[in-house]
Amino acid sequence: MSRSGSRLRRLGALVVVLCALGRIRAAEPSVELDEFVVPVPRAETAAGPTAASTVIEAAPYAGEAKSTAEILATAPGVAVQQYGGLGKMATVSIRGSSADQVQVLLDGMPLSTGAGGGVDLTSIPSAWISRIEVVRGAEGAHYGAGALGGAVNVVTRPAAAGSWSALATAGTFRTGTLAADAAFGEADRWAVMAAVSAEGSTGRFSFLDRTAPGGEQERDRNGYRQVGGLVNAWTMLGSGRLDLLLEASGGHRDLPGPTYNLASSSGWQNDARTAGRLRYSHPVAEGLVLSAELFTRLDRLNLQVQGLGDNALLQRDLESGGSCSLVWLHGAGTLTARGSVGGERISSQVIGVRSRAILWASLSEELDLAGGALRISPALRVDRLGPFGGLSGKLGAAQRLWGPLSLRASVGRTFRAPSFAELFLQQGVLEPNPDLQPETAWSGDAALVVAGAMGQASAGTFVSLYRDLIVYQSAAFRRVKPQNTDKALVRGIELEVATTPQPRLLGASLTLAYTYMATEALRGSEDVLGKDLPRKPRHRLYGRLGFERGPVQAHLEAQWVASQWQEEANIQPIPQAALFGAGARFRLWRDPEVALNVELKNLIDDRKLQDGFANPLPGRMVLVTLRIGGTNEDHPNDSP
Amino acid sequence: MTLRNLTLGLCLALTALLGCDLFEREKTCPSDQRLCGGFCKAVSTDPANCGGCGVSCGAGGTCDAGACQCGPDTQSCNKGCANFASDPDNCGTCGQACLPTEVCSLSARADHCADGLTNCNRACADLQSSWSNCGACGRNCGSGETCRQGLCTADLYLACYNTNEIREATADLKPAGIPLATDKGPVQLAWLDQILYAANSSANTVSRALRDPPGVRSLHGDDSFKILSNGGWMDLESLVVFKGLLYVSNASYGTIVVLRPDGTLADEIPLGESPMDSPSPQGIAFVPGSGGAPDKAYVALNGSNQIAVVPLVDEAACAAPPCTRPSKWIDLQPLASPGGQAQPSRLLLRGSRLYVTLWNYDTSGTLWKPAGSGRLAVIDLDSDALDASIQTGSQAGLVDLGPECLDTADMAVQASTLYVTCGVFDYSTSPTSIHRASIVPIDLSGAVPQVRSPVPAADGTAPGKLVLCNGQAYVGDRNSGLVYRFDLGTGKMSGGTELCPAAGGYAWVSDIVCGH
Repeated sequence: MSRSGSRLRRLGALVVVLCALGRIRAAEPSVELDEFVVPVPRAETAAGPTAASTVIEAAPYAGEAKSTAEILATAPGVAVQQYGGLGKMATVSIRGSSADQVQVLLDGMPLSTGAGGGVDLTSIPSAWISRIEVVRGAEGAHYGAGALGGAVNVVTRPAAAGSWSALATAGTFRTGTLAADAAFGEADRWAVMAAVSAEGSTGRFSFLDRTAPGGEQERDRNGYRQVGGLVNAWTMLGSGRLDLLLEASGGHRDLPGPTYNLASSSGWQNDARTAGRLRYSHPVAEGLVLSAELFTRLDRLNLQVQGLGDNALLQRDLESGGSCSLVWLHGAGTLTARGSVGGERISSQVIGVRSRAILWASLSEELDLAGGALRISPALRVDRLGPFGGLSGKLGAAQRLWGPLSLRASVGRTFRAPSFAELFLQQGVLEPNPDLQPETAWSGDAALVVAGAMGQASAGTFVSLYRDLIVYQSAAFRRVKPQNTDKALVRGIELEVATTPQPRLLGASLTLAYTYMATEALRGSEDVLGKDLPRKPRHRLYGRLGFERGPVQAHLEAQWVASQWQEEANIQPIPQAALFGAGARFRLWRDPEVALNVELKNLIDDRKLQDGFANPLPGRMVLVTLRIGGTNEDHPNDSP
Repeated sequence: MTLRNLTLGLCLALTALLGCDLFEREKTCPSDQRLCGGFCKAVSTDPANCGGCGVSCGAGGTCDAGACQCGPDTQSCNKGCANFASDPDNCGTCGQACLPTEVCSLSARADHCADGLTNCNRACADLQSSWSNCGACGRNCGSGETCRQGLCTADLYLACYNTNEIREATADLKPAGIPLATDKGPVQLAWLDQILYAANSSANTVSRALRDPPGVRSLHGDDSFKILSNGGWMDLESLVVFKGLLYVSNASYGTIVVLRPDGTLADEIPLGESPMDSPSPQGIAFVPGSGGAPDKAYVALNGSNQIAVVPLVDEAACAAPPCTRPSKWIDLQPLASPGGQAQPSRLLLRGSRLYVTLWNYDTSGTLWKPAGSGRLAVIDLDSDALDASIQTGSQAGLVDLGPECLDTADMAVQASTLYVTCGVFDYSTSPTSIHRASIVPIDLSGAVPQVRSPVPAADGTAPGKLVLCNGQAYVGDRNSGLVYRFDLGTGKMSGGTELCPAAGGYAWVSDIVCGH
């Protein structure tokens, strides 16, 4: 069962020919009928059929003023943790992992820093996104040490010559976005795409708080602003191809602090990231492609938070390196060998100046057997991060059973090296522990997948075992220290449906993602043993119903998160939360395409909504977006 | 190879790789307990697991330091223990049995029990004082406990922060009873109607220890009173009983939570004044009103360096919280050393003055350290302001405890002497070291408090909780888990006994309350 980009396109779009009412009459000559495309909400995974993965195309959400975190939250097995909403930090967890245990990449470039704490999804402007690939399970063999829960790869817009777009959004709480991109070049020879974006909000919304006079407070000093730029370019050099990716983003956000103050604190954060990658791929023989790549990433953080002293925290993290890969397309499949050498250096007042060499080598295979009905994909990777090394492995299989029905299964193992913060951070009550050892994870999953003309569905089960988990524990009076103390088991079910059940019925489309996840602490005292892990709800459900008729599209969305526990003894609950949204898109002009989007978030204006850390989330928001132009989504020039 | 064989092989391979104990739960017990049948047992004091799992001391026996002994009202008899005052098989002396129709009452065979005694299966016992029939027939008290008013009572009750337990001890600092589990991070205990309440800092709950028959039991976990926290930050700092209600410092939310004894919410009092700092309430003290004036609560706001003065209403009748708010905030920041934060913590009332311990920390750097010596603030309750009659330098209301006292912890007063415990943790060393640990006596007999020579603490100890029980002072340590006797006359500490075991590298005796 071979997969390719062309098959992706076939499954990603349906062409439907309608008879326009009133235009067909008996005995008249044949006429050209309107043609429109009803995209299936989810494309097939590009990460390979043996992996538990979901690909979220960004195109259906174009103009809906959704953040990267909001788009990502539509996938099963994924939990996005917000820390205040509206431009504030947001991190991702997969299958009960922490944010530190998910590898987040931008076009294959890891964004995790040595400081730890996970990747802030808000630092990735959603205007740049072409698609998000979510791979669940211990994926270190493919994505590197640290992917205990899985990996998220954000794929940016390709450089497709001739495409361009611009959008402007304005909404409640003085929220706004400006973004534009343009690509030019010469087909099959070179192309350059440049994109810029700017967004911000005052974040000044009212919320309900039981200790405030009259029960209502206004969130003050809660604004943010962010700008970013992206350059994606490629050119043919002889028989080879040179790809360049440059990315820069940064901004300022206020940190209003706890909600029980009568007014907010004066904390703030400035952050910036610049990243770049230059890659050259060249066929060296029949079916043999050699690639070499150089990359670099610099993250800067300035942080002022009450309780951390009078001086701002300054942190700089620089990672650079080079890698090579050799891809051999042989008769039975594809063998890939990769290796990389690099290093990372971090400096801050609370961590000091630390550096480490980063080395890895991997070997992976995609075998097509039984005439393509069976695929087996083993992978091995060895990573060395400073003094920590380890082996990651993955074995996946996918078997076509009958027609559109297939079965996939995988098992994997990987590890996460302690972060610089866990090893060396000293601040207030936090104590470092240079004796930490890596965390490890084993995972296994299996699923039935149906992929056909009407869409795609999958139903699967998974189990993940996490060991030597690093948790902050009491170490001395008024001090806590990270230690390898915990062990946890996570089991669950992931269901996903993306379909157009009745394309003739208003172009209806449906997307559903449900996750059942049972977590269990396997090590600890009597009051925590066997209990649910904190902040891991048992149920998550996302649903979206879309309609399309001519130039009008509309959708309804719902998200439900079951109740969860604040702490490991399962005493203090966090109540369940439900969020509803709706939107509509009106195409005002066809060529160039001009569209007006209206989006309503938190439709029922629930102003008691919180993020689980007592940061209030905004009530009902109305966002209006005007978008013109359009980008070429056929991905003819995606890099390999 | 079929897929079925493939998946079966994968599962078997995974199990073989990781071993059969792949998903086994691993329970951890406090360092002085042992895992017996899947439960943690205190083998030093548990008469059913004395010195080892399943080793029973039998009827009438107690477990003392892991060895079986006869209980306080029993004596050795025929390889067991017998209460000659009531045992019908050993009535008056070992081996002297009553007839089947007789009872044993006051060490003699009788037809019926004497007045005031209860027939417990032919043993006549005073349920109000019998160690082996305390409050109910057949109910043995634990080792080191006595039966008072039908309740098994220890001399001392301790909150052991690191192991999430309430433990008991005798007046001469021997472990007593069996450790009671509570929620995470107990920091303060308080008695109300013979029930011992515990504020659990890291769980944001108030749990209870009940001593009535059929036995001592701890109501915690799902049975705790849950207090709303600020998301991921759990932090209760103080629990004080006043006029039949429980007042809890909810530092997580910057409020005082007022609970009725059944756990229902009576009031929740917001404390913040300054928009820039979180109040982080700690100690609470109450001054009953007089002449029509309301009762007042004084709350140490550790985060905003203030004392909040809160006029109390009829809190039990409060229908829609908050029913009161602070009427005044007394700024203590001028009492801090240059570069430091005052950080008030504990309060003690004496006469018309309120004494407040100040941590006096410099929190500006990566490592918190003392900005100066330990200090006290003194507030004049008549004016609700810093006592101008006390001056240190040009600062009113300030008492400097001297260079041998860093990081004040707790206070207690006996007659006209106030005692303050001190000791600072130096986190720049590994392991953490402790400096300037002492108990500082302050003479209050004059118009102005006079600081006397401090009593140095033993190496590696940091005196914390200070309590007076029946004329004897006890000091709980913040690092070693030791409890000392402190002789108020000689100023000497003695008899340090580890009563709270270590977990996570240290042991904090977070509170001590008297048993009776």
